[in-house]
Amino acid sequence: MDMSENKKHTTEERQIFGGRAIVSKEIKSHSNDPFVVKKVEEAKAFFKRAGFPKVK
Amino acid sequence: MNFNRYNYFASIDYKIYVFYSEGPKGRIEKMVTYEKVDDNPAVYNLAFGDIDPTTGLMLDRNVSDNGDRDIVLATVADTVSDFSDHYNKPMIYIVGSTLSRTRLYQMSITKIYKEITRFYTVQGYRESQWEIFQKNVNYEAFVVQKKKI
Repeated sequence: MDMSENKKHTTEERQIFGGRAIVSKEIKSHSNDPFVVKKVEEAKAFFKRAGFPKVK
Repeated sequence: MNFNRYNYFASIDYKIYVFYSEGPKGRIEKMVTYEKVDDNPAVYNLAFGDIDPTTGLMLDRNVSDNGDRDIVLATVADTVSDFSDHYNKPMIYIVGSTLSRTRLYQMSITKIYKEITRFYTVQGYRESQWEIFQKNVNYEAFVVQKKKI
């Protein structure tokens, strides 16, 4: 994939495993994305019920 | 087992990752996000999905079926590693939006279990308790944690 065609502003590029990772300032927070909010709320409810696993 | 994987973009705080699935249904933008659920212990929720090209928001329960499932999941696994390295290897909570998607994650963990357990502790929740992940057992949810080697 030619990542340059995605028009993201590159701040850093590095090798990861078999591919490349590019750190981009253009990727904005999705903390308020309804899907993300729902998933986090569900996770909190789950851990309230199930408790946290022990660190192994 | 060596899967191909997609290159990806990471946000500057390493909490959001974007990559593009390529297949018969075209080029589909995918996103993985990590949001904190608790501080003690440090637990983050992994949210994964397609991006709505119109709104830029993540799509719930979308099945893109682009013929590249293993590549997509290997890429998601790469983001788990990347995120873990930047956040002191916290617990990462993983559950699908649907039961079938949770099963898909389970099958994926099973497929690369040997490789995963070299670097991660994987626990599954079933029958009201957490246990070390076992193959051929159905779990409600998973927590993975990169080992502090």
